[in-house]
Amino acid sequence: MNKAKALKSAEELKALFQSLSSEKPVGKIRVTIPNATCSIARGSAGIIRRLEEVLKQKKLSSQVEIKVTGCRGFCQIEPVVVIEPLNVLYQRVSADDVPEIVETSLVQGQVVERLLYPVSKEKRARTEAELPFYSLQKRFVTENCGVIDPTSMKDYLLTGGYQALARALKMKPEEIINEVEKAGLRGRGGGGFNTALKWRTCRTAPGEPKYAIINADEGDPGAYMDRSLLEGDPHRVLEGLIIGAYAIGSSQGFIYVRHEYPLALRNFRTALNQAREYGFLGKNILGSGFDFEVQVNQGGGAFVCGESSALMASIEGKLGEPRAKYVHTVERGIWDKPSNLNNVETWANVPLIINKGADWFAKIGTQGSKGTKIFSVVGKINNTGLVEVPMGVTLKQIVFDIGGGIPQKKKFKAVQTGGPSGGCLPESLLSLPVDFDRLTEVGSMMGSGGMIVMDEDTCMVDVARYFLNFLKDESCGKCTPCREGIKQMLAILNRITEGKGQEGDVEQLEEMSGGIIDAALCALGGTSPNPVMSTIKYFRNEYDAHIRDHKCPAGVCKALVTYSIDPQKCTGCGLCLRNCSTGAIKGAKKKPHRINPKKCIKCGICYEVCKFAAVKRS
Amino acid sequence: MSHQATTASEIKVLIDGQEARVKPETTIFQAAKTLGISIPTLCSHPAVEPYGACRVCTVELKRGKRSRMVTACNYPIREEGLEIQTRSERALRARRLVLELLMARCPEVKILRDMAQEVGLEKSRYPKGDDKERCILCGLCVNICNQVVGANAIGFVSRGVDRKIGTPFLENSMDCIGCGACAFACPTQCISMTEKDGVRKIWDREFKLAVCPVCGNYYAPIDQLETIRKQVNLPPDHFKVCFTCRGLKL
Ligand SMILES: Cc1cc2nc3c(=O)[nH]c(=O)nc-3n(C[C@H](O)[C@H](O)[C@H](O)COP(=O)(O)O)c2cc1C
Ligand code: SF4
Ligand code: SF4
Ligand code: SF4
Ligand code: FES
Repeated sequence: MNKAKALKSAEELKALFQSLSSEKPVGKIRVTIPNATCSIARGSAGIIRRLEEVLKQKKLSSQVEIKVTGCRGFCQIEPVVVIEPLNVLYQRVSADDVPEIVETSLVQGQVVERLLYPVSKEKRARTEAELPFYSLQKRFVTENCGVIDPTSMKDYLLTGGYQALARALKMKPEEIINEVEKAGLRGRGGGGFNTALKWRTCRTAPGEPKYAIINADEGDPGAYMDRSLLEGDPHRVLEGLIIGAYAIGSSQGFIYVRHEYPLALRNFRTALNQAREYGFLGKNILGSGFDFEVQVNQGGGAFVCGESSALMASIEGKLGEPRAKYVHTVERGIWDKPSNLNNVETWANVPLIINKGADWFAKIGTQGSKGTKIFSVVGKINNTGLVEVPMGVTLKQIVFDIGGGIPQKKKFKAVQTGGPSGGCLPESLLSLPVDFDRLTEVGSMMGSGGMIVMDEDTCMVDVARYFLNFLKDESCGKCTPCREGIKQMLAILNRITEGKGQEGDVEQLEEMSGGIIDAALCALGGTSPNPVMSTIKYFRNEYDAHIRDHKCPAGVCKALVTYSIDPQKCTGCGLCLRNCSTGAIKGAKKKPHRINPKKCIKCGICYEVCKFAAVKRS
Repeated sequence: MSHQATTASEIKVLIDGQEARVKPETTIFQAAKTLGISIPTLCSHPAVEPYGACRVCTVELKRGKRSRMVTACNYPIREEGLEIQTRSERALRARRLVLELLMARCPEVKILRDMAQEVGLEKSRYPKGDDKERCILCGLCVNICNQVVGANAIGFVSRGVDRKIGTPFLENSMDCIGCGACAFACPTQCISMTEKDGVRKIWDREFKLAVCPVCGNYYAPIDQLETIRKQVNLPPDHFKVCFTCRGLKL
């Protein structure tokens, strides 16, 4: 498109929308290929390149429009190719499949059966709508992700983009806040704070200028919903921010992005430039008299910099460390000015509320948690990916209906929600409706929406140890309870997993947890006991087994397991012997083998490879 | 907010059952002091902004039915209806936790043992750290150097359990003026500062001390005197005579 003329009013935006809508499509056929961080890792860029080559060779380039998009959420089956109007989705495509796709589907209009998603042994799904993964999802916030080209303003405008902003600028700021309040929007960044209340406090707090900030630090391991939104639909996040800034009375915005997110940052920067060009940023936006600009800040990658006061210190150019927030940042934030920070996903909900109305929004979800939430579902689960579901969907629906259950027919053991300082929930809580308050009640939290599924082979003491170790490494070290307390709790857990636990250890962990929660400066330390407390609460028997019986029921804690070979079952095939890296296994061909415990490092490879279940772990 | 912020200049607050009237923004620590109630502190100092890092001053704050834990040194009293308990069971548990952890970190620091005794804690159950470790990471030295001296010569190095106090990149800091304020402020006396033959050693640097032509004593690092003189724009020979002798002569 030619360089756009800045739009001067809502009417001009409307006229542009109408003229864009009436434009003819580029080609007869559209091929959509997600090319976000997850798809790129699986080779999507190569597919796009190959497709361009093949189309050029066949002189089809003018008839086929290639749409490069963000992620569609089902990361497991990437790279994905969607062809319209044939209406078919191919999964796990490789560049070598491209010539066949072009010939069969683009030229002949036929389906390449083998690239369809297998729903069961007999049945393959032709379209996305038929995939069980999407069946319970309500993709509102992510509706454009994987559908539009995130670097195209035209694409975004065609979805009705920036019309929420145009509408909002005709409302009074307080009316917008009331609408967000009626919608019941709560922050998606972890705490579930009432968004309207924050905005109002910031609006009425004395001090100018006021700042509006996007928190895109996303440090929870395994969580990537914010990255996906920024990569796949950056204008939506930006539009939400501009609306919020107008409601708050802020003239200066910031986005704080972690530096590991180059594509998200690039797409967002492109969106910023386009928005300036079209007059959605800058002076007198859409003729409303409202001025707003956005500055980009890159985080250094410390997890704690996602915490609001640390993030603001970092924007000021200071050490990214939390400080006391007895006076909230909405009153005194960046340079002591009122500063409103919201998560990427929170901002992305705002245009939706303005477009569809608070009543529509408030009908989705539960009593205290409205709308949808994006979860990243990972771990021991068949369908990993990003899912957007209405609040109140049960854990079971997410893990089994959407996630497709546990691979290799293993048993479900726990699901960890809420990021590193969330909690582990057992099978008995699978029917729990997932919302902010229910998760907190059972000792976990929503956090940013990470979900890690664990199967029967997981040791829950080891899990607690793992998360605590992460938090130890991420503690900024400013306050005593977190810096010294996590270290000492970890030392106790290490002892337990080494078989040196003592009676009273669990009680001491509980006592320390209580003190750390009360005394830590910021929420990193204040929630750090969660993984320990929730595993004690729901899996106490595993702690007892380690401490009293010196056993690790899941066979994970190396110090507590031994491997041996059952001579009755061993056929002497020698597979274990060849795989053992330390040469601990001896035995003649076709004779029972033996493990030398002195050489065995308990890696468990023999246990994995034996086809006759002759290797025993105890 | 349920309680109207008083426009009148004083706010009523209950601390351990006693009533205090304080100006808005007074900290709990200051308010308690007016009642003669002392709350232990390690990382705060009247000369610098409260840092809120040691957490030993944790107290229980009640408003209506809701109770939460806050640090007395930096919690600003801004509204009516607050009730504070400096020695509730929960407050003492938090304080004991902090002290027990710090005693494990720095087994030989007396001030910690004294404070611990005060809350009924004899010794730490945690594995002891290095006997020589005396720094409790209260940050007073850094904050004094930055906020009072204005030299910004030292700071925190590394994060988390590896956090240390030091000069940038642990190299000799050219910003240090050898004033020794950090060493004087340190509650555990763990910053080494020595003086011998007119040379002061601190942070691995040597500072020549000025000699007073009147009494012949060494009195302050030349670097420090020069810095102050330039900052306040004083004549070149302003600090030639030591403070004591100048006092005598006047
Ligand atoms: C250690 C720590 C890390 C955090 N990291 C993030 C983050 O990466 N992204 C985020 O949006 N919020 C993060 N938060 C929460 C923020 O402090 C803040 O509550 C949030 O950004 C507010 O936005 P919301 O109201 O829209 O949720 C973190 C909090 C803590 C204590
Ligand atoms: S709780 Fe941990 S991360 Fe937060 S300020 Fe204290 S040491 Fe730093
Ligand atoms: S001696 Fe050096 S480091 Fe210490 S306060 Fe003075 S200038 Fe700062
Ligand atoms: S050196 Fe002293 S003043 Fe500085 S942090 Fe350590 S204990 Fe505190
Ligand atoms: S004195 Fe209050 S936190 Fe250290």
